[in-house]
Amino acid sequence: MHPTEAKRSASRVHAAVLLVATLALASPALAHEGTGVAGGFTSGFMHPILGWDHVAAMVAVGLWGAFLGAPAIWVLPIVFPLVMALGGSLGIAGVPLPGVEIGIAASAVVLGIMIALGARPPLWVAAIIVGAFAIFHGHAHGTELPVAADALAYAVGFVIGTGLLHLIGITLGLATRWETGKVAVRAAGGAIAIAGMAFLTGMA
Amino acid sequence: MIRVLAVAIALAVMVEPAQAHAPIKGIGAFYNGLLHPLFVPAHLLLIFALGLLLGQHVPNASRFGWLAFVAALWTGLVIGHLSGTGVPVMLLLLMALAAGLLVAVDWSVPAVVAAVLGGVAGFTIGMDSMPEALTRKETLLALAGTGVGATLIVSYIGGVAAWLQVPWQRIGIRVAGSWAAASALLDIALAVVGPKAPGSLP
Repeated sequence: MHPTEAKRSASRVHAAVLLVATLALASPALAHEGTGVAGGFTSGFMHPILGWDHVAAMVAVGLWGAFLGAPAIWVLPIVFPLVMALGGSLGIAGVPLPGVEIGIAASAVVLGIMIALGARPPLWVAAIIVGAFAIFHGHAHGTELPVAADALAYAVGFVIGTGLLHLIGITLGLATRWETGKVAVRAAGGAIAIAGMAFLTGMA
Repeated sequence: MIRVLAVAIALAVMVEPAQAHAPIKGIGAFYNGLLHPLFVPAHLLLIFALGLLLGQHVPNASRFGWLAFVAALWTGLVIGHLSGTGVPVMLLLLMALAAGLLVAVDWSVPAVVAAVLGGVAGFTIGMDSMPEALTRKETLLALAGTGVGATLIVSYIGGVAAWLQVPWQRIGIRVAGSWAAASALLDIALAVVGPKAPGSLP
């Protein structure tokens, strides 16, 4: 590919990613709890976004994926929703999982530390760490499913909400292309770890 | 394999059919039928996952899958109209799960697999699209609209997926496939066991 064309293609990628991230940050028009398809989708979509512990961990997954580079940057966002759905199924079925809230808070701590340290373990190790935490997040979503909502619309909403949080993390993680950006991303990882500690100790 | 199939069939018949939605007033039977696949989440999820799969594997596997889908869709619409029976939503979800997983793993799907999946998906969506409480003429118009709508939607999604050829765009298609599979898996769990956990919201 010609250098000019490659530069143009990279700019398009950045523009597209920023656009999607901006859309994900925008407030949805239907922010109320409701029934039916729209209510179910809105409830599901907002569920991961309104929980700061979920937000911190999901953004951390994207940040870490970007830090690890290919293929982790795309393997983790594919693995996470699938494993999270397994955890969600356990929660829906009422299968008890001990320490769900601790697991969710610990995910922010561990993933934040990984980013802060710039850890680059083998891909299978990263996938196991992320997958294990995905079980806890999925279980929480499944357990808290509002029965009045359209079930499939709720599931689609919270999978998309989670995925867009990953995308925000990946977008921010693209800053690792520059040295200053690497420092900023590692600092963000440190902040996520501190937030995770606050969730873990009940301070937040 | 036979055991897996037996469990899948047992799950498929033990759950309720997909629920109908209220028609939009003032747009007529044809356009209500046209929009029907968009308003039934299980239909839309299956069409979305199948469209991604067909677009991911152009041109070889997708041409057979698309033709099988369209032919089976219209056949299903006719048989559904004549028989008046719906389809258990579990069948639609299982196929959406299968199609989503195939997209996520980016497996090079043989043409026969794409054709079978497309055919079964089209037939079940057609069977499950019977409108309620309409005159004969309106029913036929609504069914024709559903046939056109489902064909257009799967074609558009497949076309967009086929058009996206840059590596990061191909990854985006796989991510979307994993989202579809995850959503289907969760709804399968809900359909089988329902929300029973303590702490479920009222």
